[in-house]
Amino acid sequence: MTTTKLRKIALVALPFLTALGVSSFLYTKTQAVDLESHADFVDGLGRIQQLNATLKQQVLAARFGLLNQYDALTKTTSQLKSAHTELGLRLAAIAYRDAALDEKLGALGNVLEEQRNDNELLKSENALLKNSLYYLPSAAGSLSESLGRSKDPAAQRLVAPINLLVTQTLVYNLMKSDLLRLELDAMLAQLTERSSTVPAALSGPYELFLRHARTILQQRDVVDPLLARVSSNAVDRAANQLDSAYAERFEHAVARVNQYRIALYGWSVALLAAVLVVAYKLRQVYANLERLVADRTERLDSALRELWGEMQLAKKIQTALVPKHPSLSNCEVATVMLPADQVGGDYYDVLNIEGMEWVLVGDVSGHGIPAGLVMMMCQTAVHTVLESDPHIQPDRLLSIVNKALTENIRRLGEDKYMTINALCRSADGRFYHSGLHQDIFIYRAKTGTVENIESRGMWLGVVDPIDEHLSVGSFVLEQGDVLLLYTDGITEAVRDDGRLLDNTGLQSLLTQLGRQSASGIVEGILQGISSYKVSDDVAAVVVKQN
Amino acid sequence: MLGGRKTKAYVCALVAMAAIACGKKTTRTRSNVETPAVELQGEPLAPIPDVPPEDARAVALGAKLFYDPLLSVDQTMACGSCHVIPQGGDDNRQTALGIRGQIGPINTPTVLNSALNFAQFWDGRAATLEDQAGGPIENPLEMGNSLPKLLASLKANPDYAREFSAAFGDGITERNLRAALAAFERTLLTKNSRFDRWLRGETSALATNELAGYELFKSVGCVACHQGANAGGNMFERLGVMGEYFKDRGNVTTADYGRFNVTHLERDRFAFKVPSLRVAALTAPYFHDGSAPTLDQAVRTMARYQLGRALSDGDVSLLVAFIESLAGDLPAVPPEALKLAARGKQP
Repeated sequence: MTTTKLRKIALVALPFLTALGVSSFLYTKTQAVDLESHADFVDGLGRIQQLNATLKQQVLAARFGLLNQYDALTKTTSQLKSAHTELGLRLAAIAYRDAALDEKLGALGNVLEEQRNDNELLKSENALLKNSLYYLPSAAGSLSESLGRSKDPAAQRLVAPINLLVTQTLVYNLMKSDLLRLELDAMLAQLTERSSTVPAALSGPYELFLRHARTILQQRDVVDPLLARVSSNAVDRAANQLDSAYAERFEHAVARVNQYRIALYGWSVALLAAVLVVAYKLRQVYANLERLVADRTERLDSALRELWGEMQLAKKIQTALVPKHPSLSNCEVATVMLPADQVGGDYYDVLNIEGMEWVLVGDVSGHGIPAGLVMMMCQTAVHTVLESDPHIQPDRLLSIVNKALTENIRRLGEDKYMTINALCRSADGRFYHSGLHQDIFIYRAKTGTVENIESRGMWLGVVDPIDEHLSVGSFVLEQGDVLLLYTDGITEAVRDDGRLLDNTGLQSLLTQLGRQSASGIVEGILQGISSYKVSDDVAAVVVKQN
Repeated sequence: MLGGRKTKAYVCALVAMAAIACGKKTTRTRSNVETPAVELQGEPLAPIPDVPPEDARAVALGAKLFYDPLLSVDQTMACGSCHVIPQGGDDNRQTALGIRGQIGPINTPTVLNSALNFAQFWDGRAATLEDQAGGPIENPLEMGNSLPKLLASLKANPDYAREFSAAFGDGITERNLRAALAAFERTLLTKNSRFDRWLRGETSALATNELAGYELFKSVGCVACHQGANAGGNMFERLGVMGEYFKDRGNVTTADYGRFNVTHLERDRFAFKVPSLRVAALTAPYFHDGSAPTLDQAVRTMARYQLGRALSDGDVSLLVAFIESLAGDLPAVPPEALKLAARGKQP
């Protein structure tokens, strides 16, 4: 492939590839926000917030006895952990995530872990609280019953404060109050002081009762801060921070995508405009081309018309140059000249100058203007020579005409030559002939046969001088004899089966036509070849002796 | 969008509260002896739940691995050597017995119902059964192997190569090894206990003393820790909250530190995962140190150190009767277990 070809391909391919590249780049940028990933992330974060809300409900329910087992709470805790891991995976799928978002996700993870640890501790501590809460009323019940049955009034007096302690402890469990706590501490201190008044048999259960009461007060102070931490807004805050940071990036990404989308629209419009411009330009180019073609065609047409004009003129000249009413004394003369489509080179002439009668028939090789010119030159030269010397011998005439023709054809640079028969009838009525052309046919009325006289000499226009090649022959026409001179347009007429008319054909035609008048013979010959294909000039001269 | 989420959460909370309220209502009617045969709700214990079925090929592979001594470095022990299903999923020893007769520091927990635990091991250091699976294999006092070495041994076995590929597609990997063992272990549930049937409304499923034991179980406070479907296994608790357990027992070891060994938080010292009571009837001796030889003794120790009280012999026997009603049908023992038994490496 040549460099030019490569350059041409590059000229077309480069803008195309650039347009494609820019379009792809812009399109990719408009796809930077995957709405499915976005929905997944928002959904994942929503699930954490939802689970956290559930967890908060569950820890409250567990603390206040509405939830008496931890399975649901444990499940929620484990779901929260998986939801966070899942959220990490969903965030990883988002194109516009950054370190800050990862950090916020990590922060949420840390808060969730703290919550999880607090929750585990809460479950343990709450179990202790619940254990004592379950046990305290029944311990107080059996203790009070035993103390009530005691004979010792001091022991009996313990029943009322024990029951009050139970009631107030249970109230304190549900309702935090510093004042109540002070009262309870005082009551516990008093009851501890009064341990000595408890009968020895009940001292164990008494101590156990006090211990569980203390456990409740102590565990409440441990459990409730834990409860506050687990159900605090720390997770919501971390989730909201992640949410708003994410939303900010999402909006930013959407804005950027919109910018790229607008750019893509603009680019598409520009491309469309470019295509339109190119199409318009192409149309212009085509219109110019068409005009150019029309111009050229017009010019060619006119050139052709001019040429044809010239040709017609040349043709006209050719036919105009032949004699209008050829005549020879004591003879009937008929002629025909049918040029082919183009200007031809056939030639005949019949002249009477100072009692000398001349008949000439010739044919220039080829067709067209040059052949016509050669024919005209020949005609002019013949006239000129005969005007100056009417008694000249035919071979001498041809020698002089040859000189002029040869020189002129050389100047024209044309490869032309001319066959010619020059016949001259002297005062004694004898025909003298010279020159190489078609055979001369003479119909002898006496025998009804055609005599064939072979022409001898040299073509004109090939070499000069030609005197040594020329000779003069002669013959006489008796009454009723017919002289036929013709060009090869007749003998080379082609039949349908591809055979030429040939000399023989023409000879037998003349044999049949010999008795007719000169013009009848001409017509008969033309009639005879009418079914033949004739592709050359046709010329013939018929002379019938009266 | 955030508003929508909040609304959703709010609705969820309302639904949760409504569910809790309904549960509460059922609890009140439960005391009625004429309770119709419907599942009791709002009890602190729940029946062992139905779990989604596992992939049968993974389970079969897990069972084969569970009973294959190839898992231990000297090929003398399988998981099933210590976790003997007909014996309650443990080894009934005070502490574990590993390869070359090594004695471990801690009691072997049961593998039964372990899928219901919120964490694995006494100290809860593994969050899932998959996480747990590698522990005993690589513990030098237990199976003493290494996972890469074990994977190489498994890969040398064309049967395993085929079975792993069939179950997981990507063949023998550590992840798939863990997944197969966990899949098998998740099937080891003891369903259909008399207690569960009672919870599901079959009032005659529990004998009077068992029912009384259950009431006592709740009223003395055991249920504060042993609750949920696994009657435990969903929280941590310090051992000795109402008494000096370790001081009284003496000879404190690192294993006694429990959860502290994982979190290194002082508050977690001596805290353990509350064990499930589901098959407690079968898994003596008890506690992480295997110090209680009988269930009776375990109940007494718990009452003393965790509840802070002494129980009467009658109460103890009621509680034991109740705990025995928690054990359901033992899972079918896979044929691989019999092969293991035939090789003299524990059933």
